[in-house]
Amino acid sequence: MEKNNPEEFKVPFSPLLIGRYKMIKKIGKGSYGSVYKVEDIKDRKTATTPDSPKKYFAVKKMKLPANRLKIQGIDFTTLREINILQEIKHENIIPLVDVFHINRSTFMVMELMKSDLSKLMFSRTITLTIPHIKCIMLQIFYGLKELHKNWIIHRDLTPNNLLISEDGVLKFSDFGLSRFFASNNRPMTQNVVTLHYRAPEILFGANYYGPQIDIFSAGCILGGLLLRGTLFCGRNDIDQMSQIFKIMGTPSEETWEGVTNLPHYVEFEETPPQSFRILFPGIDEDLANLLEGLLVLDPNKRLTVEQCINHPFFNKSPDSCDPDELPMDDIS
Amino acid sequence: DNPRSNSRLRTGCSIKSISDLGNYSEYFQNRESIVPWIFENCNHFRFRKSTAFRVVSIMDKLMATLLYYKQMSTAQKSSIDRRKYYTQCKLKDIDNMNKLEPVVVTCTLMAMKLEEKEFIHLSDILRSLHLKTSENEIQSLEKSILEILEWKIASHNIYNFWSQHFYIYLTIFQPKMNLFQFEN
Repeated sequence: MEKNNPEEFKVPFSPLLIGRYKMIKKIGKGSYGSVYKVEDIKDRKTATTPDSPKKYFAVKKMKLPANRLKIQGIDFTTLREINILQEIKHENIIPLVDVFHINRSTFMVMELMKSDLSKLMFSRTITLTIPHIKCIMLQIFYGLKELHKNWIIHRDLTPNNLLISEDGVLKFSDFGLSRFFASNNRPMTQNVVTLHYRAPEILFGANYYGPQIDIFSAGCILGGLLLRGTLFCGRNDIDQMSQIFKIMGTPSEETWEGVTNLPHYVEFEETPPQSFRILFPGIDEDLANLLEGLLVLDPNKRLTVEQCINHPFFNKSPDSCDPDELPMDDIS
Repeated sequence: DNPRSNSRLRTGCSIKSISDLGNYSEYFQNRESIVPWIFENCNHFRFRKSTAFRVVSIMDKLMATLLYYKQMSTAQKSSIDRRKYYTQCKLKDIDNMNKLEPVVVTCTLMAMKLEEKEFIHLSDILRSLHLKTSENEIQSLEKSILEILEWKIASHNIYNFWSQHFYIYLTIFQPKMNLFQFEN
């Protein structure tokens, strides 16, 4: 190895990424960049038997806005995502296998997953039963528990960012907006969370918020799983708030202490809260109660992740199914 | 006191300017004066304390890793894999720079991106510290540092210290210990 000329190691070494990952195809695209399916060539070379299966990964190529690239080097969202993924190792969090940099792009190598929750949620051909919903929600809560235990808020919990493996294990991905929340007196940005899953305190412009915003997003996902669509689909912040308040009732100082002091507080026409048993006829009382607890407007009254896991809904029959019993075969 | 002005730092520590930081191989000997300087420097830019902690954390980890690579014998170097050899090549970047100045600025830039809500432009940081290094050099150094650290930039805490930073402890407190006996 010493004999080799260091020049040889200038990236890219070959058509392979860092001499190791062979590009197969592009499998996704988003605001963050593109995702490619790759084969790990090195793993194949070091495999003990020639028949050993090929190992595939997903490589996320992070896109850099041109102005940021010139000004500040590696994008801050990429750095934060790597920082968090290096720290958290959990069954329900996507593992980071490798990171490398070629020219001006950062590549993150991750486990290859079959699909994401949105495909399961919005599919018209898949039937989701209560055990399926319990299994999905419990996996979301276990992932959230791990994040919140490590003082991390995800800040972009949506069905698109919840990936599902071949055997039905759900994993959190896209930590570009995530951050640590250990200090209460630290103001945070309101430009977080996809609009349809955004908590009311962020919509009202709160500078100080906590892990409760992830719980609200989880509530929107649970509502979406029951509705097989998006629970609150506003066109802008105001429309989103009005859609939330139509179901959860208009907030007031009595129901949410301090709401009128929030920076972007606007008074809405008074609407009483609706029961989820009317919105979703035939649902269980405990399920309605859980949904209500997740979507409470006042973040201080919202359920914690521990309370969600121990909620009576998950302790009664029918039990949650195993992840490998989720209807994954029907996803195209 | 405008952090973007060209003013001198309000420093009470022994290091009066960035050029006093010295060579990176002397980092651990001079650490007790460099750390207060980093804190004053971050205070000057109105950064949070957590940003200063993060700068020190990245610096400690980087310097320990550099010392770790430096004390490798040729035989040990030849035993490391291709990716690590690539990292080794990148070390030349740091060797060529020889001084801590650009390394501290790069670590500050990384810490700022990880911790702060609003950023100060890199050129303002360089100007404020009277540093002649170009922005491109800092950006290239950032990539080198991340490769050397194998992109492990998580800061120390009581939960991950032993698992992730064991070698730093050994390098700081047991510098004469042969680290390879733990690796193998």
